[in-house]
Amino acid sequence: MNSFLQALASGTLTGLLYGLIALSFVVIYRAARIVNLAQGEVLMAGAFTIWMMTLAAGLPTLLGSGLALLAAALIGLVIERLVFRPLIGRPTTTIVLASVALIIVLRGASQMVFGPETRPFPQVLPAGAFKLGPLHLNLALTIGAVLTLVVTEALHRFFMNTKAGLRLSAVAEDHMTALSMGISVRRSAAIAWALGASLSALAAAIYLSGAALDVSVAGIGLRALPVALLGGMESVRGATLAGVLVGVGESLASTYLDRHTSGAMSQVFPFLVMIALMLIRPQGLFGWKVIERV
Amino acid sequence: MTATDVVATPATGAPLLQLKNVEVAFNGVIQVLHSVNMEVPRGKIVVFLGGNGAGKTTTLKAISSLLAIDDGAVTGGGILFDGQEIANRDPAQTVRAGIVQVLEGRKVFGHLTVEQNLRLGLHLCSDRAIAERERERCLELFPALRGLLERQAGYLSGGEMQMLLVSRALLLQPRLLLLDEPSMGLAPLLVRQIFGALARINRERGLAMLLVEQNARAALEIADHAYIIENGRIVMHGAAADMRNNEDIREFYLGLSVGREKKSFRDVKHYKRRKRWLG
Repeated sequence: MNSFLQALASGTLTGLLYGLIALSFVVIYRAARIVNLAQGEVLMAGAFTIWMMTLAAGLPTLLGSGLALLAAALIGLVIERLVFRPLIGRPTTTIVLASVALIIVLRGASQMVFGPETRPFPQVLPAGAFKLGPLHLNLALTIGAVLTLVVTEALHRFFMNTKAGLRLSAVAEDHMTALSMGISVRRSAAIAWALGASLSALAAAIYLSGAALDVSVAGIGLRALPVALLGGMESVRGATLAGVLVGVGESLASTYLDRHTSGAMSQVFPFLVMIALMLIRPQGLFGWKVIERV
Repeated sequence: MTATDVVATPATGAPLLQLKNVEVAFNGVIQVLHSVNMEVPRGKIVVFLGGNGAGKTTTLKAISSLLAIDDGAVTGGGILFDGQEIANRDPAQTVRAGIVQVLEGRKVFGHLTVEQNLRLGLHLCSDRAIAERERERCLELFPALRGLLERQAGYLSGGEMQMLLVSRALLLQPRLLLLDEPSMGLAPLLVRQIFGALARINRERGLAMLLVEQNARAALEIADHAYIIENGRIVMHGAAADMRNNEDIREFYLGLSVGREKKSFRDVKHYKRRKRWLG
């Protein structure tokens, strides 16, 4: 029973981290209609930025990380301007392939700049674990989980209630209609990329706090993609909830099934969810259903 | 255009919108509009008739600068709004200048609520009091919307969507409203309601409109002027009242035969050839 509860709790925490990364997919998709497969690499770029601002530049950890979030927003803007803005109006395949190219370019670039070696990542969030009843919880992940919930609620309100957020939603629905109302598609895409890249950097800070950093951390991006799909690419709250579902599923699989499957089950779980979802409910749990009208 | 040009054009006497020999091409090669001349006077409703693919929507999008997203551009002539050249601008600028287009196909933001759609109409309005007043004015114009505010816009009926679209456009406080087939796919009763509302808006606010319509009869009833376009050329224009009584228009746009029998296809072709000459 205890191991079940423990699996549930740590699954929820990891899941909320997935949820945060999924949010960065969602934010970009909502405004720019781009599934950026390179989101993990954007996260990696954010992670390297945090490392540069803190350990390399010697700034206090929290200040440096805060600055790094701003710098990451800038990286997002640059990617949008150089790669995706010229592709506005192109077929989806073109855009997806561009994001695949971006994966390779970003990995290559960081390999070139930072080298292949693994380096320590600053302890952005406090280390250690704490006891809650029978459960042992990772402190950094718990703080991250709270942050994720706060960010989710803030983003949800932003998209639904503020003028700027509604503009982004309008662009997400239809570029031509948004343009016809004087809403700038470019500006919306730029805002979305800045936000999305910043969220990735925040996720990096939680994910890597006190751990090691190298090019391979980008892999978490692809693990979070099924989460974004499960929640529905347009749904902010859906992303977070789906994160918890996938996180818990993965953690249960790792507790109960991995020993029978040589550790494979927890690895493939998110992707099994993704395939099943594509078959049953392609728009995800809370995504925008295509409204058919006669 | 230089600053002196702007000053030289009297702001009041000239028509609100003037198209002078406008040419539009897509991808730089496919020419769709050929030397289109057209005027929308202040405070008047102008209806724009023509068959499918004649260039009506293209003309509207040329005016509202929405061609670029489809790789189109105004390649010749000029579009003057209040004496200012506005062709090929940023669409956001055009909206701010006071030209708002309601696209065809009932493009509500279907996943947002009616309220959120209306608030998007107010996205340029920074004064809360004005925003509230304008919103109230729209709800007074279309009381049916009042009970639907929290409804997801994608699930409204066709007529309700059209009311929402007109409201959303009005909230942007246009000086010229471009409407692309507002009556498409609506029941006759709703068409009358929508056109009644448009006429009322025109009367009460003096808002000029350029209306693209297939439903020529309803449109000609509220319009002051009419233009007919075919194959990218204006082939006929005049006062709406004259157009209503014009034999050719009655035959081909209103479906009212002059004689007892329908005209044959040969006559149709003849008619088209003859109209070229008129253009």
